[in-house]
Amino acid sequence: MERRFNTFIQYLLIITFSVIVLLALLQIGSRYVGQPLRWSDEAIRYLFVWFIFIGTAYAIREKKHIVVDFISDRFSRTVVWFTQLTVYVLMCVFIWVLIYYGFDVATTMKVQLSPLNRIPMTYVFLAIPVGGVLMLFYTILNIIDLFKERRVSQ
Amino acid sequence: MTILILFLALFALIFLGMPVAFAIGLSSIFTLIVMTDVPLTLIIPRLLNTVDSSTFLAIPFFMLAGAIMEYGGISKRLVNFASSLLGHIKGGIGHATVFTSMTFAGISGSASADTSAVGSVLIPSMVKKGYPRGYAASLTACAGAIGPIIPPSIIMIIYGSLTGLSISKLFLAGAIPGILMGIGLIIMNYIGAVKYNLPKEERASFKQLGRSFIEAFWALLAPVIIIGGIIFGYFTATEASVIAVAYSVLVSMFIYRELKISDLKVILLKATHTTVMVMFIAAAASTFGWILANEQFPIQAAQWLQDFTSNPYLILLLIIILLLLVGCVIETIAASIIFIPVLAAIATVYGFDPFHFATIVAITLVVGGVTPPVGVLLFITNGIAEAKIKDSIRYLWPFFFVTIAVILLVAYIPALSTYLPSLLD
Repeated sequence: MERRFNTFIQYLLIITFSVIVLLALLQIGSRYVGQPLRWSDEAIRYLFVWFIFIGTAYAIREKKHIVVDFISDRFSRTVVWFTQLTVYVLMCVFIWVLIYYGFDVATTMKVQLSPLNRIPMTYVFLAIPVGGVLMLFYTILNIIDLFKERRVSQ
Repeated sequence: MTILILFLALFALIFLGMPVAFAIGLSSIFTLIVMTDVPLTLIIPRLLNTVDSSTFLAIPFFMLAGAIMEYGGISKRLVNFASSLLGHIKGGIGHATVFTSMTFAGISGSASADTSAVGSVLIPSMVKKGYPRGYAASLTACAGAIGPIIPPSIIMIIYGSLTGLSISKLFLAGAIPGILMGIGLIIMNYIGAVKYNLPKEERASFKQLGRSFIEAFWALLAPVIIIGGIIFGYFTATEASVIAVAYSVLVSMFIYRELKISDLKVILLKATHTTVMVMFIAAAASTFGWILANEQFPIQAAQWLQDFTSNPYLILLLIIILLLLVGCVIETIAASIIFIPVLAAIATVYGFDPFHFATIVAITLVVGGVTPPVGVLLFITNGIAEAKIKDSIRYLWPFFFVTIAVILLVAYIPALSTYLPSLLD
């Protein structure tokens, strides 16, 4: 089940990235032809915002974020386990701020329209709380893994 | 006091093993709650504005171009050419590593992309030829640091977007220092090769050399197109990064015929991971830097330095030492976003040439990516070499001194970094 969902997220990211590249090429091409596109610049940037926040969440599950490992060589397995748990719980605090305040800001942006395409900025800002929910989901999965690991080793 | 708490919280979280981006974000939020009455809603637009930037869009494209070159046969051909050019000298594969990193640097703007692309091919072959694992890892990490010094460069893109300086000029400013660093590393590798009695390869015949050049021709043309295009104003930095992607896809798919559509999935996913990692660090760091700015940290720091000395040469030395210390504990991209605004303010006070100063700051920050305990480039190469960082450090020192020597040369001979940008005026 999780695997299927991850594959879905993977394809979502890959397709968004490809669309961003193609739009960027289209934009450069259009400039050379002498009829520069006006809508594409904004579209690229807003897609990129969504790409980053969803991608950040997925990278939590894949453990691709940079971590500095002072702890694991130096302390017992129990200490390492507890610090790891603390880290995930504290991350949830940060993620909660992204979700709660992100949603708050996004809803106040209803009236503000993007300068070129006149899209409500809500749709751009929503990337933060939606990405946040996904970050929370993946962090909780990591915490569950941590408890499974604990049970196996005992 | 607020600033102290901010940094203490950051180091505590990093020490616990929290991902760097989240540690930066959480320490900012913690400080805002405990020390100020700034509403937390204000950090949301901060996070968004960093990501929503046309200039920063160059980052994913350069990451993608790097990944395509790694998988699509371009980096392999650059390696072959470098090996047949330099392999017959003592320590040959080491020289080839540095040379490949330099050519690769002309296409990719990322130190980690450069390091992993070059290292994944050359570290295993160095180890196989009997190079000490730590030696191979240290050399490759320092060579990878050339990636964002020779243009294009992610650090320079960040510098330009934070200060409003011309990114094309910033790119050019790094070119000579980057080449100097490559030459320095090659000399040091030769000395190391004599000391550890490292092997040389059979000299490639003239015909072989010619063939490897023709094979690598399209790969070698890429930096010419990208750097030339930026210099002569055919395209902006962001556009150049898009063209780098298109060019590397075309060459590896239709000329080298090594890239299949099915490979694109792996490549895109790899570039996605490196991009989101860097961009989320950048976003979080911008909230951190914003708190510093609210606390008047740039002005305080400038004043503090001025009280200390008004001698500009001494100030440069002091800034280099401080940045090297920062580089030991803070990841390069984060350090750039946090400290560049602070430093640029200081540079104005002292009247340094902005491009000269930017080059010093950029190189020193990048070299911070090599120094432990937080040295991402060293993590990458030690991972590939299956070496322990604490065993690698004794091999790292000589190469590290070369980079310091280059930083000092650049600091005290301004023409090295100001001559090329002045040609654009």
